[in-house]
Formats: sequence, structure tokens, C-alpha cells
Amino acid sequence: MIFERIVVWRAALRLARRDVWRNKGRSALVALMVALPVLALAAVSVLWHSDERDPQDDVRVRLGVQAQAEITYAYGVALVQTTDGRGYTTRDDPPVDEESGPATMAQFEEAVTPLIPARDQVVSEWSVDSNRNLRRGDRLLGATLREIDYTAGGLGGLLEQVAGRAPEQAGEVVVSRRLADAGVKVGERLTYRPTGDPERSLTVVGVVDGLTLENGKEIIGRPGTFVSAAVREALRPGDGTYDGGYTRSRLIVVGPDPVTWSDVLDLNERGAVVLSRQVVADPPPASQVSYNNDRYLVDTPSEVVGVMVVVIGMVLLQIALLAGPAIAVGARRNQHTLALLAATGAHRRHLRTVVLATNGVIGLVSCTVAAGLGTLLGMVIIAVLRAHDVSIVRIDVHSVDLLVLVGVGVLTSLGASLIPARQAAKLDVVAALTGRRGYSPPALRVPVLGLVLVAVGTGLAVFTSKADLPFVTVLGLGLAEVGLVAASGAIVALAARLAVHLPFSARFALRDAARQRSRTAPAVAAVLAAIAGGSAALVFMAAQEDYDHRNYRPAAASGVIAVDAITYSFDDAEPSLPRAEALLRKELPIGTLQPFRTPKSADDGVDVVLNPLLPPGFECPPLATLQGGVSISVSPSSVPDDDLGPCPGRSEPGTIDFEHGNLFDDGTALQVLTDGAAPAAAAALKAGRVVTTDPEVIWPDGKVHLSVERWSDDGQDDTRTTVALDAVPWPSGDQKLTGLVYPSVAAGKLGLELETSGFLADTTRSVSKGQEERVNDLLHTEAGVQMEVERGYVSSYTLGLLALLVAAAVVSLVGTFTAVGLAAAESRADLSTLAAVGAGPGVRRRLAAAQAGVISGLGGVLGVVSGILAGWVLIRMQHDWSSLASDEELWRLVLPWRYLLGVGLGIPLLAMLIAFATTRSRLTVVRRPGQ
Amino acid sequence: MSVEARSTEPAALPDRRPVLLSLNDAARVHGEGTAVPVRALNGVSLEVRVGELVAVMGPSGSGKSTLLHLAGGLDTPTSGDVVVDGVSIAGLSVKARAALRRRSVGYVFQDLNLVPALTAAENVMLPRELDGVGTRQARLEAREALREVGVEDLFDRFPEEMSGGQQQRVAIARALVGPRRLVLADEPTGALDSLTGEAIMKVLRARVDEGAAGLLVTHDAQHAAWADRVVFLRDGKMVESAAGSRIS
Repeated sequence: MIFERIVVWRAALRLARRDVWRNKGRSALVALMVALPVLALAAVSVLWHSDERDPQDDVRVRLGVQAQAEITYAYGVALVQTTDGRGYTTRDDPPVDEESGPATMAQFEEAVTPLIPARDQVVSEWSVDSNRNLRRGDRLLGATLREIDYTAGGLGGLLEQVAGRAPEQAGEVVVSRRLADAGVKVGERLTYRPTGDPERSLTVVGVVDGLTLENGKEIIGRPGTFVSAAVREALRPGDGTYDGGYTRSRLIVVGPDPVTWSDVLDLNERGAVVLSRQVVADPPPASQVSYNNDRYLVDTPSEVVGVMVVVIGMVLLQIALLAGPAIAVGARRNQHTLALLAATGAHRRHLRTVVLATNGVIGLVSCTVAAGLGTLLGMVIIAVLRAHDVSIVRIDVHSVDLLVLVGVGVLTSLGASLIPARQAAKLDVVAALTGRRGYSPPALRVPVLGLVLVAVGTGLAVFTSKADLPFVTVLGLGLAEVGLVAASGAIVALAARLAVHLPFSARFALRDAARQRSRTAPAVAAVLAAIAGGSAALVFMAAQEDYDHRNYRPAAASGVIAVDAITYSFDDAEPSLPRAEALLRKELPIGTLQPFRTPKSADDGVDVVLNPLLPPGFECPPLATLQGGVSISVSPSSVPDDDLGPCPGRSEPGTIDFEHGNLFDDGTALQVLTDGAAPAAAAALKAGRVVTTDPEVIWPDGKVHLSVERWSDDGQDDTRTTVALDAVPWPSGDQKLTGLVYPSVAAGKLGLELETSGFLADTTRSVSKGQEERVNDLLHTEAGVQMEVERGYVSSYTLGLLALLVAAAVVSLVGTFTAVGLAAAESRADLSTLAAVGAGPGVRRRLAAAQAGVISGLGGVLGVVSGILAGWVLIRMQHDWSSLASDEELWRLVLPWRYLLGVGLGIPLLAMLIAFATTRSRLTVVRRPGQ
Repeated sequence: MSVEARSTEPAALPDRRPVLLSLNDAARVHGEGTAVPVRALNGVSLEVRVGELVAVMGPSGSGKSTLLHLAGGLDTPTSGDVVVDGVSIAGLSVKARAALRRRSVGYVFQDLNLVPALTAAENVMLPRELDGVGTRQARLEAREALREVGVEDLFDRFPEEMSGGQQQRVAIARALVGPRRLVLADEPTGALDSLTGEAIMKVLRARVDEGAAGLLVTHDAQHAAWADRVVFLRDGKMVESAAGSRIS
């Protein structure tokens, strides 16, 4: 039996192989649909794996080809680490005092050197990112400065000299290839001027390259090139900061002896993390490793896996549907061959096998080619990325991924040909042999099953959308879509009943669509699925935008500019508010400009925290009952046990939510912030009263009672006092300002000093985005700050909505025109008859347009309806999350009609127009076999 | 070329050759149970024995092709019985009828007889491979079948590389490859010129004489003359049966 099947499959495959080659156009169409996703995913696989580094890569990048190990400081206490040094933690929980460890890099080196193998030694490396102290001529040069003697023995492969020579004395440096590519040449002079250290003149004497450079812009010198020995001696071990830049330091072990796991454990006792070549190459048994990353990995929740499986399944279904019409037509074009086979003794199973084998061969060949091309594409993208600062150590092609992709592609191809194969197997042999075309009325079983699936799926999705069961909900949506796909043939047949009332072209197209359901139904289903997915996403995105819009609170009145020296300052320029003000006045139509002041502690080394106290006896209001009958009751323990915390689900009644710090004002800044809309609040501030948007924090005595906590760095003088200040309520309306604004005069009473940290400015004309960008560039370079313009709510979804529209249109048009093209090829005999009875040349065009309209129109309308339903379900799934915070507004169904009409009607109209414009009008006479 | 007349009188002695095809009052009604049923074949009885070639003639719509489809199990009678190689097809499943065609019956059509994507040999091998015979064995049998119809040299050629006559010879080879002994030919010379048509008939006759049996549907009396018997159909009924004439 098995032998017989093998023989049959062999014959079928032989026939398939030849048939694929003989019908290149049709085969290419199927191949394109199935193979394009494989190509894209193969490229993604190469990129993904190439971007991932394994411990061997770490060794190559950080140790070159010779060095034995890298030792870095982690804590001042004993630790445990993974064998590759990627994960580590303190050995004791809670850890002993970290201060007991080495305080400087020198001490750390001293502590760990005795623990390395006797014949080995350490080479110290230190680097700092510099953006503000390095100059090339009169321009700043951003680069990493690295101090290391890379010519020391045992560092082979770390940095390779590609031009010039290695630095031999202080003042000589080499640059990375990337910096050389950017124009820095051998012989050029650079200047480095660290704060508090003398300026150094650096001469470029060579160019180096190596994996350890991570494709970055670096300047490398011998120890002492960038910082003096005294500074370096005092540097803290491990990663830190120096002169505004991030620093990294490490010790590289060189010598003849490998650093063993036992050495690593000893070094761990001194707070050092070790990457050892020998340990990575030959890891110790698990019994000797007390810390393993795997134990701490969180499993992907099965719900997420389930949702992913359903989503991937739907994508594969979409691909199968797009390939479906070409496969169906292919099977029908082969009807005569299949009939011959049947006459020769082929059973239905044999015919199925032939159709499946044909598409299996197409899938296998095209997906194999696509996997290869995708891999090449991935490599090309990596080459491009490498040319743009991205460090990718190696190109990693996972053959298992590619095999899986090819397998999935072949299965998709086979899946797409299941129904055509089934239909081919049921062919009327006699009719096919004589070339007669039959019409089989729609079988009831499949559409009934489809409708049942639609009902069950929709029910599941709707009823579980509130129950936090995303997998079941998404599965329900998936089932409903599969049901619609299954019912699409019957829907086409049903629509054909309307044909009698329509003009000729539409009537013909509808009848032809119904008679050739094997070709039309998958195309309609493909359009339906694409538009349903697009519409669901459009509906969800519109709801998201509505949600965001309704929750948007402007930070200031529209058009107000805020410049802040704290939030928006840069390492490479000293912030200067006077320069910023002058520049702003010069470049923009500034009206009123008002500095704002934020507090700092009057005493050095002391932090001050302000908290308004809730009035005695204040009870948090019960949470609102959530929609869908789910409610959350507040248990006593969930209410804060002191009077400082907020009520659950409410905003913190703390200091004002002002992006630039706590606001202390005499009313002038508030006038600008609100564009003069809060005169009473401004007057209150001027009079020395606190204004609050939260009246509940005002005590019965008309004051706010502030808890003033003072935390000192040494922990000696921590205090908590209460200060009462007169307060008035201030409803801030739609503005983001919620909480308290303090009067400037209260600062002293609270132990605070005020400093000007920025300014607010209103404008006499609106500032465009382009102006904002241009002025921000100037502010950055000339004043070391940036500005922000309040523009009110600006939609960030427009591009996304348009992209969805385009994606839905592309998939729909591909599905439509595959079917229309195939229909045109199949309708030649009918067109010939039409020509014979005197049809004009425009008929062919009108027919093509009508066919496109039938397919994309049916798919479009049904797709939009089901997409709205799916979008509504997705929105319902969001309710629970937003309802937890009662002062946030709930999600609601918002229909983006313009976009939905664009999808449901625009795409069909576009398809009709394209079909009309691109179809040749000439009618030709062809032979009608068997008729 | 001379024509050998054959007696229209039935043989005096009973014919002891085995019957390969037997139609017993076979009828085929299309659209049975509908308002306008079409009686394509109406109670036809006919026997074809080993070594016998029977021609079926009649005007268009007389039921010739239906008769041929019933004989090969492509269709089933609505009443009566069709027995092929001793097996009644009336009660056979679709699968069993397909198996019957693989093992006992071969068709030759007017044109487009061969699968275009397969070589001559592969076309001939097809029924054997579908029957689970190993490729090597099937190839040997195909070579033998092609040799018997005189086109062994076309073994590896594709249909488009052959003339119409050559294609029909390959089709005859496929119809009689392996154990198959009944060839059902539907206008096998219809798409050929007369000389080629005669040559095909000669091949068909020769294969029948070598132990096969044949049922030939044709419009052409000259080709029908190659048959041992000619039956005439009209409106689905057999109206006449006569001895054929042999061109020698």
C-alpha cells in the first residue's frame, strides 16, 4: 500500500514538475503569493539572529583572539555570576555594605590582580564618551575616548592597525576606521579640554579597526593621554561618569594561562564579574554554577502564544486566499489532463494528489528560492546597517529557521490548493473530456458550516471580550473570519440572484462569478479578509485616537513656548537662559516672556519633599462601577494607611503636574501659562495663597497643610514638619495643570530657595513645526537648551490610518486583479461569442470593470461590516484597563467613516477604474472546444 | 487496396472466445426525475469478444459516446447492466471503476489524447504507475507497448514533438499496456488525414487480432470496415447490426 502510494506520488510529482514549467505565468503567480512572505521572513531571520550575540561573540568582541579574560567591577561585595558573565547578582541577600569594597580603580586592580593565574598579568582599559570637550578645529567632535596600550603582548585581535602606527607617547592617538571614514586623517591635530584639567593637543598617528570598536567613532591613546594619572587613580571602579560623559573600565587578563571557573569564583568574591575565554569554551558543570540566567527567565504566557498562533494562522489564511484563485484556475485549466488521467484509471485520490503535487512543487521551489533570496537580502541590509554605525558582529544564517519557513510556505501552498484539489477530484470526466463547462449549484454544507462558524466565533469574541481572555476572544474573531471565508462562495451565488435586475456587464460579471466560484470565492474571501483586518485596525485606531484626544491635557495655553534649562539641557553646551531669550526674541514673534522659578533646598546636601495632607476624616469616594457589570470594591487595606497617599484610581493630590518642576509663582507665570484665563488664581498667588485644582486638599480652616520632609545625604537631620498655607481652589479646566501652585513668598517658609530654571513665552503668531525645529537647532548649539511649543492635541495616527488604508488597498487589489486577470483569460470564448453577436469594443473593458467591482465590492462591503464588528470587540477588550482609573475616560466605539468608506467603496471603485483603464478593448474570436 | 467482405449472417457455430465486454439492456437517462429527462441510451445489448473489433455508427446524439462511456465505467447505466472482463460495473464504486480502467480498459479519443507534460513512455506508463506498479516495471511494459504499435523510437518524446498519427499510436499503446485487453476508441482518426487514419486503424486491428478486443465509435464507413461487426445506433437504440468489411 505504501509502495503504491509512493509510486503514485512519484508519477504525480513528475507530472507536476513538468506542468509547473509549462505554465510558467500561472505558476509564477502562485509562487509570488506564497514566496514573498517567506522572502521577507528569511531576511528578518538573518537580521534577528545576526543581531543576537552569544557568549562566543562576547569573547571575540571583548577579548580579541588572545586575551584570557575580562574583569569588570560590579559591586563592592561578593557576587555570583553566570558562566558567560552576562548575568550576576550579589551573593548575599540582603548584601553586606557595599562601601567595604575598593573605592578606586587602582584599588580594584590591586585587589583582583593576585587572584589571576600567576604567569598572567592585567592590562587596564578605560574609556569615556565625550561630546563637549573634544574639538576638531573649531568644531565639537563626538567620540569615545579609550585609553589602552593595545600593543601590549597578549591583546592580539583586539585592535588591528590598518593605517599609520600605534601611539608611542602621550599626545599621540589613533582613530577608529569609522572616524577615519568620517574624515579624520592621520597627521591631523585634535584638542581635548576636560573640565578642570589642562588642555591637551592630540596628534592622529594611525587608524585601527576591530570588533571591539563596535563600528563606533573612537579615539584611542595610551594610558594618560586623556586624563592625568592623578585623576585616573581616583576614578571609581566600574561604569560611571567623568566630566559629563559615561565611563567604562575593565581589566584585561593576558598571558599564557587560562582563567578557570575556580579563578572566576575567587574573583567574584571581590565583586568582580569575569568573562573568561576558557570558561565560555568549556563551561563548568551545572552543579558548580550557583547563578543561572535560565532560572530567572519568564516564560511567555500561554495566552500570548495562543494569540500569536491565531494571528499567524490568519496571516497564512490570507496568503492562501491570495494564491487561491490562481490555483483554482490552474486546476481547471488542467481539467482535460485530469479527465484523461481519470479515463486512464486515475481515482479521485490520484487527481487530488496531482493538484496538490503541482502546488506543492510550486511552493517548494518558490519558497526555497525565496528563502535564499531573503537570506541574501538580510545580508545586504546588514551591510547597509554596518555602513550606518550599527555594529553587527557576524552574519548568522539559521538553517532551521529557513527550513521551517520553506515548510510553512509549502504547507500554505498545499493548504491553498486543498479546496481546488477537492473540486478537481470531483470533476465530471465526460464533460471535461469533451470540453463542456458545467455549472454545479452551491453545496449547502460548506456555507452552512461557515455561517455556524461566524455565529460561534462572533459569540465567543463578544462574550469573552470583557472577560480578560484575549486568546479566546482572538480565536473567536479568527473563527468568524474563517466562517466568512467558507461562506463566501454561497455569498457570491446569493449575490448572483440580483443579476437579473442589473445591466448587461454587471449581470454577466455576477453570473460568471457565481458559475466560477472556485476562482471568485477565494478572491472575494481574500479581499474580505484584507478589508476586515484593515477596517478592524482602523476602528481600533480611531478609538485609540479618540481616547487619547479626550484624555489630552495641554500643559499650557495653545501657542505658549516653554524653555527649560533643567529638562532640556545638553552635555555639549552650557545652558544659558539669557542667550536663549535673545535668540527666541530674534527668531520668533514673542509677546510676553515670563521666567518661571522652581525650588531647590536652601541647604546643601538636603532634599525637601512637599506633600499636601488630606483633611481629617476625609474618605476616599467609592470607585465607579465598571461597565459590563464588573466592579472593584475598595478593601480597607487598599486605602493608604496614612493621610499622604491618594485615593485609589485618583490623581496624586501632590504638587502641580508641571513638566518643568514644582511651580512657585507670583501670578505672572500662571497668567502666561493660561493665556490670562485664570486672573483670580493669579491674584491669589500674588496675595501669597496657594491655588489648588483639587479642592479636597483644602482643610476646613481654608488652608492646605503641607508635610515638609527634609532628607539629608548623610541621614543625620531627617525631619518632618507641617506647614499650613492659605489656599483657594482653582478649576484648571482642560489644562494639564493639576495639583498645587505655590506662592513665591512661601518658599522661605518651606525652607526652599527659588531659582529661575526657564521661561514661558506667548507668541503673537503661531509657530510652525519647521520654525520650531530650526529654532531648536539654534537653541541647542547656541544656548544649550531646547523649547517646547504647546499646540493642543495633534493626532499621531493619521499616517498609521493612511498606511492601513494603503495596505488594505494593496492586498485587495492584488486579490481582485489575480481573479480578474484569470477571469479575462477564461472568458475568451464568451467574449468571442459576444463579438460574434455584435458587441462593441468597450464591452470587454466594461466586463473587466464589472468583474473587479463584483469581487472587490462584495469583499469590501462584507469586510467593512465584519471589520467594524472585530474593531468593536477589540475596543471592548480595552475597557477594563481604562476603567481601573476612574478619572480616565472610557474607550468608546468611534467609526472613522471617511476611512471606512475609502476601504469599503473607494477600493472597489479604484479596482473598477484600474480594470477599465488597463483592459484591452479588442475582442478576438477563439475556438470553443466541445461546444 | 482491396476490401474483404464479411458475412452479415451469424456464425453457424457458437463463438467460444471469451466475452470482454457485455452490455445487457443498458440504458442511460440524463436528468432522471426532472421534467425533461434525456434518454441518451435506451436498452442496448451488445457483446465484444477477445479478438473482436466492433464499430458503432450513428448520427450525432444517437448515444455512441454514451455507450463508450458506459463501457469504460466513466458513466454508469441507469438500468440494465454493463459487464467488463466478467465484472458488472453497475454495483462498483467510483474507486473500483477507476481500478477497472487501470487494469482492463483503455480509451483512445479523437485528439488531445496524451498528457502534454509527459513523454510518450510516461504517458503509457501512467495507468501502470497509478496501479502501483514500480517505475522500472512500468517503463519496461511501456517500451513493449510502444514497440507493438511501432513507435518505440518515440519513447522519450513529448506529445508536441509527435505527429497526430504518432500520438494516436501512443494512445493505443497506453490503452493496451500491461494486462489491459479492451480498447474503447472514440473517433480515433477524426483529427487525422485519411492515410494516417488508415494506418491507425491498421494498428488497432492488429492489436485486436493479437488478443485484445475493441469498441470503435466512428462516423467513417471506411474505418468501420476494419471492424468485425458494425452496430448502428439511433436515438439511443441499436437499430441494426452487420458484419464489417476488412481492408487487406
